[in-house]
Amino acid sequence: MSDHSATVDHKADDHGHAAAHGSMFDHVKVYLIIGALLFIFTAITVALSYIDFDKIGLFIWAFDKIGVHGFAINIVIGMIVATFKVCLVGAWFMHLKQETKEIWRPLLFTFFFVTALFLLFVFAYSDPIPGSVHWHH
Amino acid sequence: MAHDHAHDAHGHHDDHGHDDHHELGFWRKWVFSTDHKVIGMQYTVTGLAFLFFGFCLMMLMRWTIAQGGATPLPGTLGSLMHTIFGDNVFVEVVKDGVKGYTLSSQGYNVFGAMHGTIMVFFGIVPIAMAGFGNFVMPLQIGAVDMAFPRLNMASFWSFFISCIFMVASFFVPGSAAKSGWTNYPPLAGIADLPGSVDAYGDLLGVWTNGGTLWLLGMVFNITGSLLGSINFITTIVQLRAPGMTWGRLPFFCWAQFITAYLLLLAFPPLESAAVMNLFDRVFGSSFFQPTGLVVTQGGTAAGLVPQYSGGGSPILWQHLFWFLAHPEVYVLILPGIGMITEIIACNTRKPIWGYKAMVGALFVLAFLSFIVWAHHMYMTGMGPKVSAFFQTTTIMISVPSVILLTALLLSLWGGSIRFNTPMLFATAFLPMFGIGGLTGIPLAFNAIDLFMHDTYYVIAHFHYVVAPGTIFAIFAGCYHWYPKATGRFMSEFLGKVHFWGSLVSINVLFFPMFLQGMAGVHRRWWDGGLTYANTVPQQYLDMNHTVSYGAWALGLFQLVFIFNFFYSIFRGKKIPNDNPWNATTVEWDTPTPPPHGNFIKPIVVYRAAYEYSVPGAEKDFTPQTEPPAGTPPPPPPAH
Amino acid sequence: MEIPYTVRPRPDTGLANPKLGIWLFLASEVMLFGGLFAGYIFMRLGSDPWMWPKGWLNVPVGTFNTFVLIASSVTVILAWESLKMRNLKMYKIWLFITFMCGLLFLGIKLSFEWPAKFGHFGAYIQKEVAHKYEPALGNEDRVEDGKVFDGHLKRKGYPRLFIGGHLTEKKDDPYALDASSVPFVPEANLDAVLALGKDEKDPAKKAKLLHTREVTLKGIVVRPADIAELNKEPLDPAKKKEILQRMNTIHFHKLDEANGRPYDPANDRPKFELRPQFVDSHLVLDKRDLIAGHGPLVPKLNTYLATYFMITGLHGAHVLAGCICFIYFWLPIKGGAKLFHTNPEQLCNRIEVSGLFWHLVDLIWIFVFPIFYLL
Repeated sequence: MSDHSATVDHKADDHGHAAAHGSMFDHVKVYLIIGALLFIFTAITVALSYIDFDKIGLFIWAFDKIGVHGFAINIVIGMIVATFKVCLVGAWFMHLKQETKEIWRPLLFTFFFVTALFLLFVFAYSDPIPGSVHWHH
Repeated sequence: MAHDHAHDAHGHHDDHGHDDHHELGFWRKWVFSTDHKVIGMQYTVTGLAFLFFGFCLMMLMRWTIAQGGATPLPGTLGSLMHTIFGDNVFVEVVKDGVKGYTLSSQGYNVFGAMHGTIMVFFGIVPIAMAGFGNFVMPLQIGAVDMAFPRLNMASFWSFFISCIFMVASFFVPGSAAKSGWTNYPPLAGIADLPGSVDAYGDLLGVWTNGGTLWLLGMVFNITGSLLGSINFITTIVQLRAPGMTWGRLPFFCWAQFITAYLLLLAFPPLESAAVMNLFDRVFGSSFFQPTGLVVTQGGTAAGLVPQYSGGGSPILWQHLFWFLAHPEVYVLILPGIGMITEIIACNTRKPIWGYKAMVGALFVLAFLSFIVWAHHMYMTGMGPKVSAFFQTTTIMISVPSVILLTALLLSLWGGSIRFNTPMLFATAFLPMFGIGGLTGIPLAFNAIDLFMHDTYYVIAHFHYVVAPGTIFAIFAGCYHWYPKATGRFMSEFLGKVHFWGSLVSINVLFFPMFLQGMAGVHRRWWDGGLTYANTVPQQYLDMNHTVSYGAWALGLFQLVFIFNFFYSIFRGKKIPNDNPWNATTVEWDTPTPPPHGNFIKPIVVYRAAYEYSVPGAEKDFTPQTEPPAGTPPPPPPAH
Repeated sequence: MEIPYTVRPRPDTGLANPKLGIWLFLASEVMLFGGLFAGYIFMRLGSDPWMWPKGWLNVPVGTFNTFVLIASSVTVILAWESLKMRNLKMYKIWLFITFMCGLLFLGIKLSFEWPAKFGHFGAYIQKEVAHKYEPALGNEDRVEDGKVFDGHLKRKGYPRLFIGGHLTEKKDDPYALDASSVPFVPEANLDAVLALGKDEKDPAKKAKLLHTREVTLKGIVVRPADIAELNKEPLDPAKKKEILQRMNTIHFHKLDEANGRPYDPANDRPKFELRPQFVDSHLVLDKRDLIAGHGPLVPKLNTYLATYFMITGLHGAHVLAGCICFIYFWLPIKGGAKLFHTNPEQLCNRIEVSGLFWHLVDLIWIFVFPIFYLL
């Protein structure tokens, strides 16, 4: 539809919105809750960074299973919390929860390629020719 | 819904329409235009100019390669070049008492780097993707314009700014970038910086030198490409005319759609890499500068330690660069294949064989192209696991490429082929692209690549893909859509001279390179291998002469095209009607040349893209907009 | 001519053009920052462990900035909701708060966080000569369970090689500050110094030339008196040697004392390694013992700062772009708040689209904050 017709019938539009007004306050409530959660998890991220997980047996044991040691445990945990926060922003603030497949499709590719970028870089880094000196030293 | 669409497509015909009722001035119409067709032509003309410029650089390089570094250029050419490019690039030499100028070794590096950069980022992509995409794609899908016309203009002007940076970089102290079109650090981080390797004080100098201007140019170029690709995708998704379902989309639009996605997702990592490299050059950071780097200058100065803290990784640049630059290869070829498909279907008078398979192949190709990049980096000391992964994906990607080529070859089968100039170029494209593609397969293997890396074999391989491949497709596209843009044909006779001349000379140019490369001739020997004469059998170095003659002959035949291009605007044969090739796709349903807003009738699409020679039909082509018998005409626009 | 679906969604795709456009743009932004974060990963994995610092940034300030950005994300969506309810007044209030949050974020970044870095000095001692500076480096204090602890991924066995402190400008000797911010001067470059002002006969012009910024920025900082000395003919070799030696040393004062505060070891928390690590009243570093790039905490010093400044800089540019959009939509102009009276749906779309961009900026910060400030 053109801008023109949108101008003509925006009154009809207002009607449509008036009908939806009942749920608007629910929306606002949801946004405030998500905002509060983001605040809380930011505080949690900061707090977690002061904990030395490498000293806690349970974490040493659990992260050893996936080959993560030392301070890297903190990094992995921090990234998990950050990813959770990002999911909150994406799903509710950016409305990805109810977005159409036209939006999701390119995004899925993007997520895939950006992950490939990260993982393959790490992979490429950690795969030296056997017996050779690693390039960065 | 169909009704709405018809209305929209027809919008400019309304009495209360807006900007089309007052004439735009010259500047708004031809320079700062938001019309997709004008922008397409701006891109094409700028791109063709750069294509020729980049080719001229290469012809000058071929002189040094064929003649060694000590023979002056013939006639006054040398002193003319010396006047233009300066002391750094052209040096005075004397041979047999003849004094003159020729390309210096440093100049060879400049021209080599800029030839690659210009051909890829300023020639082919702007023409094949932005130029033809802008001009043809909205017409083919029956849209009034691109989805974001002003953004479209912004893309072009961002591209134009990048052109200015690149051209300007020839005229700053030290001349243009000289670290190859791949701009590999650590060299790219230190080359051309004022005061050589240890000063960061020259506030103007760190910005105005070849290397930095190259990066700035790339940042603007990438920005333009990103904005353009957003526009292309949105246009194809949103502005398809009613009835133009995905299954009826002409293959050229599919190719543009996929290409736009490649640009959209592959270009940003290079943009971030370019910004990092700018940081290295301008602020002295060490993203790509390793610890303990020692530089000797011109082989004379004792090891200078650059003022970098170190700790960076040159390999990071290669990763980020090739993360773009491998998909970029498909950005170069896919629009070309799209154009060739249109032209083959139109001139064989039969539908494309395997349309769906080709579209599927496009998707697979695009997806795989993102995970093959490190096959350019086997020489970096890559471990066995990673190189095995990239060998596998590289071999896999040859499958969809072969599907595309096979489908196009089979499309020729049984057609009553009309060999006009566009079709000649399109036909020649197939074997040439085939040679280019198939010679790439050995390079996918680590063991072979370690030997072939940076030899003329690699040069020949990718030039067969892009030169008689994409550039032939561009020529075919020029001859094919020229009547739509201007209302006149390009001269058939001159076109055939251009074609046969180009076909023969381009093979003389590139074929010997395969043999040279297998003998070990390296791509960066500026004197054609004199310095390393005893490492390669002499007959392979002698081939440099043949190759150079091929290059200059090719240059000569392009003059025919340039003449034809401008001559035909005024004197070309006028087209008999709006659809001179009797094509089926929607772009031929417009007046010629198409006005602002494109269509004067509502566009509704009823059938697939290539309905040629439909049994029982009275004509041998059925346009996409032709309603099936018994369909009522679309209702008039309602208000 | 009108472009269809600029405001209303196309029925079969369910999208209006701008929304698809902005999502594609965001996809490319994800890849852009993906490239930068990939750079971060590479830099961090590849850096020598003693070179990747931890705790250089002010966590409370960073946390506050994170809160500011999250709050602005909430307010922009409330602005959009108000607009959907056709409540212009609330829309303008919420949008203005968003804009102010953006400005506050930038203000803190540009007026406090970055300048705080520029006002610090840092240098890495080369590993081989680290023992010469042991009291300042304090590696003995850092032995933990018999192994040296460096705070970086707890890779054991790496000594601390960084010396840092506040830059102090001394009024009587303006070059003292610069002297600590320039790179090592190789002997070969002394010739360049000697050449400075050699051809200038006019003493006034000569003095000016020697005082120009260029003299200090060429990477060779010398006092004008030194240059005058070096330009004398014949040049006294002993004098030359002495000047060269002076050019190659950095004088460290007891920095906290210079700031008027006594040094407090209790303040020297491992989280803030920028506290002066030495108690000598006068520490002299030989520049030849340092690795290149020492000076203020700018991208040149190490790859951590390079990535920090680049990522936060690009992020800041995005914040700025968002602020410009918001103030444009807030002002009573044709494309802004006035649009409410002619085509509220279009204004609504504009806020949605710029809001999506703003959320992405927020989302990137959610990653930037921990990887630079905390971990």
